[in-house]
Amino acid sequence: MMTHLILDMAYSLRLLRKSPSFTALCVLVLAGGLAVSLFTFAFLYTLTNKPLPLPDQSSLYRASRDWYGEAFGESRYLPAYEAAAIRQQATVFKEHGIWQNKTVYLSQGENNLVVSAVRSTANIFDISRSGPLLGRLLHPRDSQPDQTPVAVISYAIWQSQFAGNDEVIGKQIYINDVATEIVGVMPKGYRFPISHDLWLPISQQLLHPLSTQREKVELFGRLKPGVSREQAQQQVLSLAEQSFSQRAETWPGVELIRAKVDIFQRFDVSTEMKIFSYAMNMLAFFILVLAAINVGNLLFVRAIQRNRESAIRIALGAPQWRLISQLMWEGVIITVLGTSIAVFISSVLLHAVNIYFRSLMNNELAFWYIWEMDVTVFSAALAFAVATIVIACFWPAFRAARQDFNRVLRDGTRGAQSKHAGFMSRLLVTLQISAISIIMVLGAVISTKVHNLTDMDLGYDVKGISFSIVELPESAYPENTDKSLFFERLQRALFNSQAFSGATVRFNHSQLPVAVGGVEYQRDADKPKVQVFSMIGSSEFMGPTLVAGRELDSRDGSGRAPAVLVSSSMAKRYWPNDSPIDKQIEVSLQAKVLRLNIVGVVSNTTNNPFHKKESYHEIYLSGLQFPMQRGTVFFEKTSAGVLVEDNFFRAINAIDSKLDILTIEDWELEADAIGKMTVTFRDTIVICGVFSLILAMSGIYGITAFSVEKRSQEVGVRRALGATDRKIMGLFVRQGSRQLIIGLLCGCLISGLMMFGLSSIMAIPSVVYLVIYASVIVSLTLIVLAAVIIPARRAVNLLPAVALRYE
Amino acid sequence: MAKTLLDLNNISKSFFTEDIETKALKNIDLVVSQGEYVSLTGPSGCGKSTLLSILGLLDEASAGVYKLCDIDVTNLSRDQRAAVRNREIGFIFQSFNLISDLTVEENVMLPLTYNKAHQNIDMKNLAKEMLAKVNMGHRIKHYPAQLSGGQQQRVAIARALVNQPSLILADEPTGNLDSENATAVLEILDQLHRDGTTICMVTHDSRCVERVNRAVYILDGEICPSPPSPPLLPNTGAAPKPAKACKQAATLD
Repeated sequence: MMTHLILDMAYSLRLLRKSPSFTALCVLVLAGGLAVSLFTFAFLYTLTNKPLPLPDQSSLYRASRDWYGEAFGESRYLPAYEAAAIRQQATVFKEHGIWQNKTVYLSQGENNLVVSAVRSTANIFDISRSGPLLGRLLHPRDSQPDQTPVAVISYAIWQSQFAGNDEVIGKQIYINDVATEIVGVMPKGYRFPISHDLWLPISQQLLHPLSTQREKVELFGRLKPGVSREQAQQQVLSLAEQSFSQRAETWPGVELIRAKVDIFQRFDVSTEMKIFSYAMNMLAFFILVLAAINVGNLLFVRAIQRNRESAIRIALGAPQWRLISQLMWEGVIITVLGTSIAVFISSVLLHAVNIYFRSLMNNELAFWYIWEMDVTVFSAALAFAVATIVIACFWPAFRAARQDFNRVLRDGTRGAQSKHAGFMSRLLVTLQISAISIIMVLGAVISTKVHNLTDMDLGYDVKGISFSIVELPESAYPENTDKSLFFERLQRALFNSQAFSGATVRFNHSQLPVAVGGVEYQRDADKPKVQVFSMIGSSEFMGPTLVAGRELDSRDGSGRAPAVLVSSSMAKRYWPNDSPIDKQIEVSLQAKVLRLNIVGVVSNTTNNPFHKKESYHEIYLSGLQFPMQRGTVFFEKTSAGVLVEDNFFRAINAIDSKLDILTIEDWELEADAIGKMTVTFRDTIVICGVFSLILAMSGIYGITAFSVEKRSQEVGVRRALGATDRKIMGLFVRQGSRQLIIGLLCGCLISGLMMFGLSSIMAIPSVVYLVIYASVIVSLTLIVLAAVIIPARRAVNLLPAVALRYE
Repeated sequence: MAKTLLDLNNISKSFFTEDIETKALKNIDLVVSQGEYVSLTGPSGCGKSTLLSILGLLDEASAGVYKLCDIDVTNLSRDQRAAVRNREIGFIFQSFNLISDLTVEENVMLPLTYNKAHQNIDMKNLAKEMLAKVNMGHRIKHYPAQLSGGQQQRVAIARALVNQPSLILADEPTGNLDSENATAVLEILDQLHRDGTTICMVTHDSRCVERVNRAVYILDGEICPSPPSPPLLPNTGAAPKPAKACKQAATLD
């Protein structure tokens, strides 16, 4: 049998060599489709599902819980005391630990740098099954207050700051001005848990089972064998509820809503991201289907053209499977070539993405985000190739092998197209119309959304702006006055610094119901929800800027009547013909119902790129009166040469040298990076869309034109019998229209269902959908009509005598 | 008495176009013995090609029983029919039906590649042997397009013979040839007959009819009970060899 297969393969190779342009076209079409699908799959797989490059990674989980509170909205927040309770009582974990993300200022001699650090339990390395390259790991005793502060550094820091010196162990560095001894160096590539370069012991206070600390922590560990994610989730919720209920009075207006336990790397993947990933994979899948259908069309046409040869083989006793196998070989060779090219293209693109994202994200990507042609992606390529062989090779070969060969032998008509072949051609065209309409709708909707994001004006001037998120430990800053004092001092220190020309601190109280003065509300639910912020210091340098009235200042300090600023959108909505100044609004905040006097109107801004700032209502209270534990500090550098981190840490250390910050970012750079990524993403979708459209156009035109051309003799007969050109053209157009209508109906129905599923994240006005659907219908109608009319016109223009002899 | 090779009993074939039934063959009874040289003649549209298709298992009868080598082949599956075709039947077509992208040698080898029993034989040698028989041994690496019509038909005959079939079915084998080439092809067929091969040939050509030892005349889908004139045995100067028997027993695998 092997010999026969080799003979068939050699024959197929000979046929492909004989038609180099056909071979090249098929290979390129397939390579394009496969490359798009493979790249999309690999890209999204890495973002959402890629296993951690750690031993025994599949049992590694993260856990937290979500709550809803007036002061926080819905958020994921596991306070340290709850984590401690869960750790003490949970039976679902084989081992567990906690960590806190921190950004610290590392000084060593003349060198200073901001480092992404983690304060964690000592078992973080055991749980991640990793050992040190040099020195030792953290030890539980390192968390004791009387111990010398120690740190484990990453391979990257060891190389960049210590030039890979083996004598680094025992050296002293300063972490936020605290002398710290280096006790270990981790191996290259180890950045667990996310993208960390420095591991520090966590405070003993946070670890104590009877801890009352409310600082946010992250819980992680390994589940016991046989424990399901759901079981773990249930236990975490029950323990969290138990712990939460004991301190419920310290969280007024807050309720626990759910617990989440998930595979480590999937923990932060949002539902929106999952939906988006699903949509993108569907888009890529349809492009692959389209490419496969196209190649299937081409191979089917070729198989039909070889009907006579197949008939001879049948007459000589070829069994059905041999005929199918022989007809498939060409497709298999094309698929193998196409897949090889696609794998190569995808590898290059993934490598480029790696470099691009790492440069944009300033090395802050999660450590497992490595876009590469790994075993899973390569297996996906093989799976795609097998699917392509089924769609583009087996099916057409199977259909072609079931032609009426006796008729072919008797008639001697080389391309005699049976009823089955005609049905197959029509089916393929209908499928193509469906597939391309889905791709066009999906592609247009996604690219419109992304385009809207690229053009989005959030109302901020981010030039020269950096921000830092600072969280004050509950133990050191228990009262509102402590918090407001710290943040006021920080804002002043930054504002008065030579390095910065503006500074403001903002607290996000999330969206809350607000009662507008003079309006009667039956229920709380009838009150409009607006975004509530409180702030310290003027935001004129970045926005929102004052439009009318006055800013919040020292007149609005603790003990004074609360004042408020409203956004222009809110002023326009609730006081369209009047000034809102001196009007009142009411809001429940921090367990108090506040009657607020409007003292100013500010410009519109939004934090959410999915919202339009003109319809997004915001109010601003004084941060001196309503501070929070966590605040975002915005500051504007005076010139490009300013060492932002250096000056910021100096300011913060002057107030509290023990304080870690969560993050410090250059907003301008970040916005620029996000903008670039969004534009790249939009352009990629547009390129994929154009590629698909070309595929579909050529496919639909090719197969329709072939079907029409095969009926040239019929055209001759009809003309010989007196049919007018118009009648013949009408016949073809009617038949083409049937396929168009069925294809469009299926495509619109499927895409409509997909759009319904995506509506929560797309939020595009209905009129845009109407325009998109109308454009898709019109453009596909034009393509199909052209594919019918041009070859039909050619057939009609043949002399009847020539057409009658057409073979 | 020679053994029966094929036995058609009450074979009918109808074609349907919407509600209209066209009867191509009506109650055909035909027995061909091993070693016979039979022509099927008749006017255009009389059903002779349809009959040849049924004989060659390329088409199925609408009614009746067809036995080939004592096996009822009427209701075989597609692959079983393919296997019988490959083992027992060799086809010679009017338009040669060589595969243009295969060399002469590969065309002749083709039936061998479909035969499981021939997996271990030297297919190339066998093909060369057959081509030598029809005087085409010198053109084995050529493609069909590089050959004349007569040469192509000789290659087609070699291909029909390569599996040493029990039955050769020839559909107007000289229809596309000039008289010189037609004579050469007919001489090869005569030689095959003398070697004991059973041949059924559809033809309009009187020169062909003159050479067979039985002419079956078909008219309007029926075998004409009294053919216009009995065919004459050609004077070949030698008595035919014993007929080739069926290669397989009464089972099909």
